[in-house]
Amino acid sequence: MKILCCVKQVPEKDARIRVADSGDWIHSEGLAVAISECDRYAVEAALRLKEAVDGEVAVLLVGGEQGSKSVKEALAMGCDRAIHVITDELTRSDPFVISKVLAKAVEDEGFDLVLTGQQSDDLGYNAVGQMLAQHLGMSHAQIVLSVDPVEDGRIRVSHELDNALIETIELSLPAVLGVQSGINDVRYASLKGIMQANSKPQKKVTLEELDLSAEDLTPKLRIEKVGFPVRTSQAEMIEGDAAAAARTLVDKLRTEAKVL
Amino acid sequence: MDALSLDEFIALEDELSDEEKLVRDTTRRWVSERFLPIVGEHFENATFPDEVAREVAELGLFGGSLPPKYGCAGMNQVAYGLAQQELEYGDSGLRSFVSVQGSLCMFPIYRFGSEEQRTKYLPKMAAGELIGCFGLTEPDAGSDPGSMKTRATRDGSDYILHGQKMWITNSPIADLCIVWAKTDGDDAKDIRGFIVERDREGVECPTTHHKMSLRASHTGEILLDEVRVPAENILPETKGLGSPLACLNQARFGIAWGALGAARACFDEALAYGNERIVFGKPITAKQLIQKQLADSATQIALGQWMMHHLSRLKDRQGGRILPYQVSMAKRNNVAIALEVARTCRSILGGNGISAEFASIRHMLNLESVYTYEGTHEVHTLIVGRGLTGQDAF
Repeated sequence: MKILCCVKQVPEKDARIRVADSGDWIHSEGLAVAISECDRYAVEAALRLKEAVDGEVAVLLVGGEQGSKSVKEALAMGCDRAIHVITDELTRSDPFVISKVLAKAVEDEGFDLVLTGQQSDDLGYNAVGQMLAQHLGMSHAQIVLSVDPVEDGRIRVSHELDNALIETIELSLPAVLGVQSGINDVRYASLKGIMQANSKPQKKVTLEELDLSAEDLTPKLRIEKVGFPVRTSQAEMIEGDAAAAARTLVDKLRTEAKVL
Repeated sequence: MDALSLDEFIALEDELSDEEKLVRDTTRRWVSERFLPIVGEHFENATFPDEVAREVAELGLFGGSLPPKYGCAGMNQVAYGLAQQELEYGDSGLRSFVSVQGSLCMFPIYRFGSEEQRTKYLPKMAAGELIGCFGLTEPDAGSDPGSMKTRATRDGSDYILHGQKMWITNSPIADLCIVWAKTDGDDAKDIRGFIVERDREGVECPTTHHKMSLRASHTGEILLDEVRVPAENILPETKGLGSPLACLNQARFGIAWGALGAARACFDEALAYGNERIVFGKPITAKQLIQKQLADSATQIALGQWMMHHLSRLKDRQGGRILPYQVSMAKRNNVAIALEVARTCRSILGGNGISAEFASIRHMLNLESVYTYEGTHEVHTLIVGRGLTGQDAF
């Protein structure tokens, strides 16, 4: 099976984030970066599939030169080769443009299965996978919890629906799947693998070489402003003994918070 | 204003290669996910989580800077140092476990062993299938290892080893011991290294109990009672006291990095705690006294980082060697400042600082050992002094 795994490089989850002076993005200079959390689970799912059915896993990343760190990590985890679309222009681009770039980078590769993370840690649009499937003309499922190969070029996929329902379906290949976080135990890249990642094939292409149309590179949305949630003091201490406090809490959750 | 992170002060991120960052981040993630959740309980119970050995081996941390042909990761000195730092962010016992296996057991086999010994032992040690320990210190020979009493007497094609080693990290669980013993005479130049398998008759490795420091670490003795080992177990290139000291210099380099990790763990904890701890209506981090403590601690950590990056790049450029005086200066400084940072951070935590629920007191207690082992602080002072004056003050 020929598998592609799309990964995004984002700020480390414990990085100290500060809003840039422009107000529409964050300070990114010197910021530690890492593979987005959901994408890690997608890489692990891809590697397990490869180990089960044989084949290859390629990793695809769109980003600046510093993206090579995440490319090498995926290779060190066990991916066989990498495609890195090098561009500094699309850091804040919208799902439409990113999905167009991803699709164009692999349209002639003939992948059977494309895995993405459910959503990215930074922008979290939860839309790239769906659009990518549309551009590539592939089947698609989101919030994927498990993937198993079955006969005749099909896969069995479990994924979440609303109200905590889990649906199991069969999809024809080729397909794009958006992988949920927490579905597997993600392996660590070995230090030996890290030191030898450079020996695996890494194809680097520029955005210009992909020859996308001006329309494909025109975002459909624009970030006007980013900021931290305003801190408010709305905590309320519930008095009384445990039983009475629990009754009051349930009542508030039902009538005020409306979550029960 | 928005607070800066300590990493922004240190500003080394852009100086690191992809591989160096990945080694650091991968080790950090493993320590955070797999080790930190369990270390507190092990420290309290004076046990070491032996099960982590397999995971440490899978990551490639054992002998990480030795060549891939022996199953090792082949990291450069910066990557190796960053890994030690992340391990000691977890606990000095964890870094010691890895450091003894790599710098004090695998390194002497690599540096002073025959090719046959290298291929026999190093791949299995890298894979964690064999755990080693390093026997130099004796009850009456600590800072003066040249006065050791352990003897290796030639008997036909064998050597008979007799003596006692103490304060030996990993000895209670070791499969093999690197034992240093005098062969022909009583001079330091007569010291040679031997590979002594644990299961040889006459070898015992009892555990040292009642430690108040490095509690999450195996410490013990090596008792050698007329232990017969074949001559092929001698490390052929060992010649005098310089050989074990070369191993110690490797380990001390890792300690100089590692201590910064312990300091950083304490600093992170104290800063986070101080931001949440309200006293007289304000977080204590808004108080001048606390800010001075944080500023002093951050400065010392940053200085240590800059020193180790420079020395590591130098070591890489010079084929893995820097002056032992430079290693002593780094070990002496970084462990001392780490101990001071740990004590300071423990005090910032107030009463909570004495609880094992927090990491600072664990690191503080551990660093008392690190201050004394692998060359005491005082011995490193004399080494640096000798380097500066050309005069021996031992």
